Amino acid sequence: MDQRTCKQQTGAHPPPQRSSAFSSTRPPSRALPSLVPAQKTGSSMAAVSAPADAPAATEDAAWPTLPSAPDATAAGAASAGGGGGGDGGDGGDAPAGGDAAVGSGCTDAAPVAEAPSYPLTVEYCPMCGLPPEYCRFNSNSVFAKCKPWLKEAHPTLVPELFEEGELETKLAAMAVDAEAATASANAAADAAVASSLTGPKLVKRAGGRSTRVNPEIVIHTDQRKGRKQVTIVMGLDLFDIKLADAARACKKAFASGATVAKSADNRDTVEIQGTRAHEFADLVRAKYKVPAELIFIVEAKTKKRAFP
Amino acid sequence: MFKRFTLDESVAGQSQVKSSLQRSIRAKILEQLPAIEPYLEDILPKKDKMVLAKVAGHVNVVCSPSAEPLFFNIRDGPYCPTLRLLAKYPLLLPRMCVDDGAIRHVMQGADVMVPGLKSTRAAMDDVRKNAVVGIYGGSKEHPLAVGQALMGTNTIRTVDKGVGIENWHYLSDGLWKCPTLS
Repeated sequence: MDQRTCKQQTGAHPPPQRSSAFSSTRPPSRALPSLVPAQKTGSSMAAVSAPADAPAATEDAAWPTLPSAPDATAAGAASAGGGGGGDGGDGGDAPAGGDAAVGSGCTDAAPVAEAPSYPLTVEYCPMCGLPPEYCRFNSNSVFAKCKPWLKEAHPTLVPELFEEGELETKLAAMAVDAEAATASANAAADAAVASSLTGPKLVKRAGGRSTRVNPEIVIHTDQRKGRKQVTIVMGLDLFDIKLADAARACKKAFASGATVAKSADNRDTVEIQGTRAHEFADLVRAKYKVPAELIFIVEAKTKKRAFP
Repeated sequence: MFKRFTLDESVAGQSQVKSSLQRSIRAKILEQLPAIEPYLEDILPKKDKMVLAKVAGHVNVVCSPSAEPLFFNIRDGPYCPTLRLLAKYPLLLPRMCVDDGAIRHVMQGADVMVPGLKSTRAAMDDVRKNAVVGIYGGSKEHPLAVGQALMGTNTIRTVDKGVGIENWHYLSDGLWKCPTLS
């Protein structure tokens, strides 16, 4: 089918449209050695030169006679290239059968078919609207919807590795397993960390006094000069996290500046440039195993009475 | 180009064109796509009024009287058939086959890179720089996208990277999703 449309095109094009620049300008002596070692390059070149037209055919026909290619396979490949030039029906001096052996994406199917009649009728998938060949390049969810129709109309286009239903059950089983595993692991880790971390801690405060506070991480955003936002994290020290380490991790994770700073009430904080509250919450949970219920984000300012 | 195209927002206006303009558009299309000649009367009948839609991004879309998009061009650039038309008349444009691995990306609007055209599963017709070409999947029959070759075939063979074909209009983009502009 591919072959046929290719050929149709070749036949129907008027000669000037088909530029022969490649075959005529490329020095054959350079082209041939690349044919010899690698079938890969050979095939693509032969395929490419296949649609060359009458003016090019003389050039093409000259290729196999070059003395620099004694290797039989090279000569074969070259004659395939020459044959491609002839099979438009106007060169005619080289055997046209050669290029079928040289498989390429465009020309690897059936022999030349009947004369084309345009317009071709084009079939589109009723689900996604694309030509059926391209259905499987949709997202998986869309492709799943195309499948029933595709299976009926074009069974060859459905890649089916598992039997019907088997894949789904397997996937479902895997999903359940994974979910359970991660859930239990998370719970265990959280519990372990929580037991060691919860409970009030002694913290020094301004003025030399000490108070007991419940460890928790509080993240809020603030503005600096103009509309520049910073994210300020308090309470990391309560979890025995080194602030400098945390700042460095932030720099790496967010590719932004992060520093250790003292807050107004003399608490150690990490200041991250930009609004990173939620991302930091994820980071601190994943990296330092801080239990999720101890991480807080302060958002939207509340409305207050002007004259209480 | 048509990635964010929507019928409501992107079409600034549609109008029937004057017959003189219609003649010149027909002549231009015929000049740029000589292969169309036997079929031009089927595609754009002389006696029917064609409709010209102005689209965001200085794009003009030539439509049939029933508002079916047929060709488009950018500013005064070359006319390019839409994919639905090209699928019916694949002879209109040179055929550039890309590696199967590139299909997914081209269908999301990516330009075609040189390595995707030089793979063993790819194949190229000989084209000059700035030619309008049809982009096909390596083992596929139908066109996947249309675009403009930013390099001639000869240059593509000599370089190893870079954009080979600029993607103008691809399967499942905004224009594709509008079989008619009405």
